[in-house]
Amino acid sequence: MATADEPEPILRGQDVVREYRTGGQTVRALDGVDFAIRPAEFVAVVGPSGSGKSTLLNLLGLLDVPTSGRVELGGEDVSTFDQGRRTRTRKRDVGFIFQSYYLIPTLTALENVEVPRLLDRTPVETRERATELLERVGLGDRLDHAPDELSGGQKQRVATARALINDPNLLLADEPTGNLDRDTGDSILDLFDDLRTEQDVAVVTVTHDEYVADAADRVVRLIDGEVRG
Amino acid sequence: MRLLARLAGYVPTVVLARRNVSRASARSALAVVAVVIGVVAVGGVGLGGEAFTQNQLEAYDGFGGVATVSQLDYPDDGAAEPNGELSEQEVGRLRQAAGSAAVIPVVRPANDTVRTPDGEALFTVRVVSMSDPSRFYELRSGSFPASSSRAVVVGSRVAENNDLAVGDRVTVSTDSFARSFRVAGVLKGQGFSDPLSADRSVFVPVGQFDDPTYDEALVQVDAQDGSLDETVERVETEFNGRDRSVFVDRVSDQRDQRAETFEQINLFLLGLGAVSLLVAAVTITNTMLMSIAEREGELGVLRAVGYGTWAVLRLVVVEAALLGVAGVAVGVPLTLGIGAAVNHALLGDPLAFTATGLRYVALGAALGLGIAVFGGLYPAWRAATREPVEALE
Ligand SMILES: Nc1ncnc2c1ncn2[C@@H]1O[C@H](COP(=O)(O)OP(=O)(O)O)[C@@H](O)[C@H]1O
Ligand SMILES: [Mg+2]
Repeated sequence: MATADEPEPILRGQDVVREYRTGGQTVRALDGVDFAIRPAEFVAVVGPSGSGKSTLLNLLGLLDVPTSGRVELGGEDVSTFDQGRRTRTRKRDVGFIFQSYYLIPTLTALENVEVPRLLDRTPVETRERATELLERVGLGDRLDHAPDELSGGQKQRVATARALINDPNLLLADEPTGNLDRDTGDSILDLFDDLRTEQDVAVVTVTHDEYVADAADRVVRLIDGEVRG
Repeated sequence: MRLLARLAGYVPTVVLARRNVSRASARSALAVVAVVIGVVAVGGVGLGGEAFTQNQLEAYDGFGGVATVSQLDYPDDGAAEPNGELSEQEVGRLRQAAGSAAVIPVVRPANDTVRTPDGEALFTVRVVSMSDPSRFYELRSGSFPASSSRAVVVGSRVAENNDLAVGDRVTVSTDSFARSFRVAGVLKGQGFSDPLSADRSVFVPVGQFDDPTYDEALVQVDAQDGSLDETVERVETEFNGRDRSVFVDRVSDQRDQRAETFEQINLFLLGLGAVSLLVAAVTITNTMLMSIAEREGELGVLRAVGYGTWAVLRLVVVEAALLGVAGVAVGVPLTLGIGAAVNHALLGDPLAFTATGLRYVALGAALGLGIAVFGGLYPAWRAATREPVEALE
């Protein structure tokens, strides 16, 4: 499948297993999955509820490590990274859009976008970048609004801008168009396209939406923790 | 960008923390109140205790360079007690030994009773007689009577409790006489530490006693004339050569003992005050645990977008510290206000703060801030070590 002129993957997984132990029971959420995510790629992850999609996304985002198997970043096994290095890597390389956004209610839209860079103590540059991103997602007129003054779609776009503030190589989204109308969904997909063509950002999105899956380069179908089809 | 916002950008943790603290304002306010109580308890007890100590020790002010000399009594079955009498001859020896120091013999007649004009006996009032009480005491009103006159000076409590004023009459009866006296003067209050218990005494002029026996004598050395220590040394040599026959007690020693007692009581009360700070610490811990439980997801996002465990730890600790800062900011002025009121009441000067008293206020403030940080540590550790994946579920 991989040809010689294909770029090196950002992230590669081999025989990845993730088990959860709850009480006496062990749930195998991922059961030997292989994957490779290349720059500028758009991958859609689909599958029924409980099939392991979020678990996979967490592993891709270095929020979690596999129970067995390897997840490699730039050829290095991420399970050898300590907590601090995983955190720094996430900050540098990964942008997350969570399903329930998790915006901080005491901060304005603009401040929420700035959050990942607040500790950098570069307030002027951060503010410029955050403003630019909010304008880009069409919220240039909502900078000072609190999250509870924004609609679902607007919150979603704030969360997207926040995911982009550190210029990630990899953008991970859990059902980014789930609660959105078709127009807003379209604009998010357009944004993904722009990011891929302009900055080689790889996008991995979990979706239930066939329409999103159709737009993807590649669809990973998960059933019971295994890749099918 | 406005200047303030720009500056705030350089202390992002404080900005984030401040916003969070103001989110659940009622809960935060309660935690702040707990800190305020703790700060006021420690600082207020410190200031109040200091004011009280000072108030009590003021009684010793006129007694610099004074020692009391009393005859030692040797009961058949016990240790020597300083409750004998000094004869006229012994007072003479004392004067010789004391040299240039003033020797003021004090008479405390037995079977003394003081009655008001309507015949009421004042049981707690003692009769004292000494030459020149003006040496040690100031008057609130009236004047000191001549040694031969039929007039007395009464202590402040005697006057207050029995509505006595200059010009009123009292009847004083002792072993040797029962006479009516005019009140010539009322002393200023001295407090209960006063060596002669002047507040509850009636000072009868020495001339009223034909053949006085002295219960004790005061030896007073002027700082310019010599040292009390040397004088005491000479008195000890004169009287306590082979047998100990007198007990010499420096008033400054009595004062030091008193001061020490007050200090211990103060420390005990401070300990009680510190307990309220512990309660404040528990309140802060509880507040912060609730706070982190409420925004588990947000904290998880912070971890996900690259905040390290230290960053999250610091954020939560700073939040707790802000509650402490608010508590101290309210508590310290409140403590100083209470202290000023106590100073005003006990010392007549609202600003009579002592360095020690202010140190207690500083201690209260430091502890208030310290316990807030301490109380925040456990919740902060909980929040920081939570796996982001679990927090985001
Ligand atoms: N933290 C967890 N502890 C225990 N079991 C979990 C945990 N997270 C997920 N699971 C289980 O792993 C399986 C896959 O979950 P998940 O990746 O969330 O699926 P999806 O996102 O496709 O709905 C499910 O059976 C789920 O119950
Ligand atoms: Mg899921």
